[in-house]
Amino acid sequence: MEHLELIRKAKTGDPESFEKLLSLYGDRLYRTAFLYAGNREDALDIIQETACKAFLAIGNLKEEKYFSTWLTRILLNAAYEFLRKRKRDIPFASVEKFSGGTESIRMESMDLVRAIQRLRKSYRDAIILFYYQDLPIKEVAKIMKVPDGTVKTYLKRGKEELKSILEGWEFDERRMAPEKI
Amino acid sequence: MKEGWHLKKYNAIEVPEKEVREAIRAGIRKAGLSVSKKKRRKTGPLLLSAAAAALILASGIFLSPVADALAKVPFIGQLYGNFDDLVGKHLESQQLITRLNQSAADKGIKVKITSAYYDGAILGATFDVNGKVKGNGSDPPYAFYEIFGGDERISDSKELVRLEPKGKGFTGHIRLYYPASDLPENATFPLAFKAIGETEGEWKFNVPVEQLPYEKLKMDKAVSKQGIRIHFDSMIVGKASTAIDYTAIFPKGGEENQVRLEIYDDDGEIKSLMDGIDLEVKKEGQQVIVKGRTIILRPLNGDRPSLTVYPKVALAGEDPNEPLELEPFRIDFK
Repeated sequence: MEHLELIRKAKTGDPESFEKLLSLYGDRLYRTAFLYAGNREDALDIIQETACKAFLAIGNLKEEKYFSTWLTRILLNAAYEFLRKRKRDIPFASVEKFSGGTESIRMESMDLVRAIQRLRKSYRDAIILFYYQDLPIKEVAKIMKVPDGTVKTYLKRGKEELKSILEGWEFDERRMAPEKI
Repeated sequence: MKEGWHLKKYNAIEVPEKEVREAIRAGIRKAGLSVSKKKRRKTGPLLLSAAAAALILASGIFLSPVADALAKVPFIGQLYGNFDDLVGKHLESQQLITRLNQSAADKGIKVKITSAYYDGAILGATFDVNGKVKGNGSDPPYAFYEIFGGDERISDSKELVRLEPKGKGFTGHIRLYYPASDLPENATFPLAFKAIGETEGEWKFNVPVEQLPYEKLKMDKAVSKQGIRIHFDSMIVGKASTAIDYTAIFPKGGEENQVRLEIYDDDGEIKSLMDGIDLEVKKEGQQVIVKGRTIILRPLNGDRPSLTVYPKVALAGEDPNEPLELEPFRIDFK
């Protein structure tokens, strides 16, 4: 079924169409929820809440072409609401190991999740929405309710901060590694 | 995806596709059940005033002698062993769980409440499900339940709970906090299951609970910063849990602020907390006054333990992971 048709059917309150529609976004929803939550169980809880809120609100979606932006905003709200309920920083031990890919990529992804969680909120949202949700600057600006130029600043600084965090860890790991004689 | 920047790392986050589909389905189901409920009842105001709380309590919780309803034989078994409930597990090991045998049947499905506890400010119950339970796919089904009539002014009053296979049927577990400052000794809490697996129906209970002996300690400690003040009022020390009650005063617009307590005992940080419970919220002039509670979900270590409390406030609209930090203090039980 066409994407647009699914949206239209979902707007009438048809749960099957809505489920199919959200399943198209399943990978992206999960990976983004994971970046905020840091572990699988919490990421799945965020998806459940997103699906619940989105299904209740889809009748109010005015322009179908903005479905992705609209869904992303709900996901972010659900993620922050979840973090607010969880009420504490994610302990290092709760960041899960990944079970797919090569070992080095798995380690890098764990670093990415940890590094993103250390970014300040504005940089974190901008980086996730622009680079990982693949939204244009204008859409990111709409979701974050800031001007386009501010998003660009957040992206620049966020990217620098993220690189600095990741490079800092790599430096620490190199320093800790035994030297070859 | 722009620049391929860290794309490899992002894509290496493996997606549990089946579980994601299940989470989407569960969310839609939760929404559908909320909608059908909403159509039947009017929603109340968002803020829970003291008067509203009294009304909920008057209509939702019935203070009554429960001796006849409770089986006095303590239950010895492994009811809580499979659930993430440290309070239930500790009470079970001390034989302080009360066995119950209340059943309700509808649509060919029988639900039986098998046990309950009421320790300090926290309640728990276990239940079994038998009959024609239809799941969705091969995963264990969910049950959707409401407590206190699904009152939307009480958070977590409607929940989905995952059922675990047990014999030819399933078993499940509920844990909730008592939603008022004053704790009655004996009470019944209204519990209604609205769906078991794919079957919608009604399985209603008034679960009788009897509060275990506890100690109430008066506190008089206040901390403040940036126009926010938290006064710590009292502690309720139960057999396997401890509640800390406080009154927070926020400037106007601070309804969504949330108090978080980071608590340490002699063994380090206590991770098992139910935090930021709002019992009453009221506006007075330019202020918002919140009566709140934090519950430590395990027994305190030692006879006369000491705790160090780091109060924090997650400010509305700010990153909840960067809360405002207030002055820490120590509590000695001497």
